[in-house]
Amino acid sequence: MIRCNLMQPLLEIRDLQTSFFTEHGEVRVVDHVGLSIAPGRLMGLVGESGSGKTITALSIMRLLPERARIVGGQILFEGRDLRQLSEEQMRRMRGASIAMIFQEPMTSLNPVFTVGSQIAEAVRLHQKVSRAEARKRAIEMLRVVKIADPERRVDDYPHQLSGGMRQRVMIAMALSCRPKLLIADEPTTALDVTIQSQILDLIRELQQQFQLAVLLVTHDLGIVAEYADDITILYASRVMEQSSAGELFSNPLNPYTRALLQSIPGAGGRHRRLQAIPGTIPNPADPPPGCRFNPRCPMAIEDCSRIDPPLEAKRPNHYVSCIRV
Amino acid sequence: MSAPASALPRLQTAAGATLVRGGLAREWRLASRTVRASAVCLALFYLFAALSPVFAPYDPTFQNREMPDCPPMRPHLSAPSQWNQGLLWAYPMRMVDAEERTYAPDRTRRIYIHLLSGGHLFTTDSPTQPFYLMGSDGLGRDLFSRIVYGARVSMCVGLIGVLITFSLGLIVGALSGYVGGMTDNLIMRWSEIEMSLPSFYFLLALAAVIPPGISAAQRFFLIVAIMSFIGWAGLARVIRGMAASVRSLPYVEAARALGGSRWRIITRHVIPSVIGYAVVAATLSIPGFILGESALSLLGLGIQEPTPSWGNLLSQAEDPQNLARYPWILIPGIFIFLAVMSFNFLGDHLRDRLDPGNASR
Repeated sequence: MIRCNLMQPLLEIRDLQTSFFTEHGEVRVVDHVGLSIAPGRLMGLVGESGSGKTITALSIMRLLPERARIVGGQILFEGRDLRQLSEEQMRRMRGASIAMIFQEPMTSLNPVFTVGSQIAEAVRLHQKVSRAEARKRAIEMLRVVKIADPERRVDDYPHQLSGGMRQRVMIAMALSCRPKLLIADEPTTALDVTIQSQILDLIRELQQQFQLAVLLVTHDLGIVAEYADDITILYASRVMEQSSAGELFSNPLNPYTRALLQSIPGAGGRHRRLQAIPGTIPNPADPPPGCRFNPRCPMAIEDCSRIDPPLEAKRPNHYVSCIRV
Repeated sequence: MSAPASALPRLQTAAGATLVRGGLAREWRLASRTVRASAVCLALFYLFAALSPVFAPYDPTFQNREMPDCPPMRPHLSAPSQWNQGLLWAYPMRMVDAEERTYAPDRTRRIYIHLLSGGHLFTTDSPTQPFYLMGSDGLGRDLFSRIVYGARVSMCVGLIGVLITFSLGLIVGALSGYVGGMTDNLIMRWSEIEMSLPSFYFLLALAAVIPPGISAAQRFFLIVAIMSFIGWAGLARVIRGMAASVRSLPYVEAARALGGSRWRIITRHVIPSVIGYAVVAATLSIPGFILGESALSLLGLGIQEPTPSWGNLLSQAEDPQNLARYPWILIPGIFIFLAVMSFNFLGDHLRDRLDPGNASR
């Protein structure tokens, strides 16, 4: 291993496979997904609804819905496979080493407790500190996430805060035990655009401050263009393309990525007509043979529906799964 | 304080916190006359239970063999010159017909009633010269004293019973609903078995096997415990349903993602969200316990003589002949009725107050 120690990834997912088990049999929703995040890096995990990005995130946390199960692969966190941990060991990882924030800041806080007591509770889940000490930490965390007047806000109930402030509180809770990895599942989807950028700026800033590794799950390419260091593009439970953000946007190789970029307004000239991708994402219970994207792909040839394209490095550190590239 | 961004959390907070935040004075203002009367009624009955020796003029087990089945006496207000002897007085009763046990007031003498003397709210010089506010029973015991002491059993049976049912139903229901899966299945099937038992007959059978040698207090607790262990299933089933819906709420998922253990999530998130309903259900189930004790005692299987309870006092009214001759032995029934109605009114009121739809009132 000649790999420099600095680049040692904090989280490395190899060949992750997660399935839902329904009455109609097994439905694979995460199919051989791999990615790695180093400390201080922000990985954007991008995909349409139903592409498996949230399930990938939940697989890392081992908080899958009842019917879903990881059926293969490894999730290495600091070299340890999270799949091998007992439920109790995994519980201790959550919040302390890996934290997660969710899409709905409106309902992710318990309405009957003050935000301060909820942050304090998160601290006390993993650290033996007194109530007073935990409260002090809560105020400190509110200051870290830039809530004005934290001494007063600490006693507010969630309904007294705006959506953006609630998401800040969620971030404060998530970071209260100084985790090394933060998984943010569409953290700004429910917020309006100005608040969105404030929250993402905050995440970016805290990431640098605490040397956090961040996995940002989103469907918004605009967000990853601005904030991500590395990008993984998912389509129909598979990785289509993976590289650094700069490389991906200057040199998109996979036809799916290109089609996505063409469908963003403002990306290529002002008077350009937006290109929509024809068709819809395939049903995961009945995926098309070969490349998952082939029925919608403008570059598809006959082989595309026969050969499962492997994820290969087509350029240095730029992985693409497409036989036409 | 600020305008709510979303109605849901605000209402839930309101449901949880109004009763506390508003204070008792505010609650009193909001309550209807019926609810206030119920609250006063229950407060009085619990005072009876807590301070029985003060409220009861006589020892509830003292038998005045001269005066069995004496009717209630009417108190009169003394003339101001005689207030040193007693503010109130009554004519003593004289037995006219020993066979029929009929009485007539002896208008030649007066019994003075002393207020706040000898540690009693009111009493007379001697239990052999008694003032029977509510008459006496077949053994010449003061019915009012027995009712006051009976409140200890009858009012506490509900509280203790509900405490057991409530904690059992709440914990089992929350656990079952939150954990789900096999545990849930087992617990719910077990509760169905319990609910399908014909509870009254079951109770009869169990009460019958209680050994006769044990003390009244032990017997009382046994009966309450038996009733509670039958009653928890209904509450547990409802709580389970509510817990199962709380389980998938985003804030519970967030708590899991922060590393909250099962027990922690149940106690911190699941139980607080169902507690409002549970309190109402508990209040509304107290009358069932009071009536259950009455029914058992009426059948002679509950609290045994000479310890009084409202149920076993009422059991004397079983015989229609007794009832026709000495109608005052029905008075304990009035107390049961008042207590049960009060709890129902209070429970209904509590439900309205905790209902988020009414929170803005």
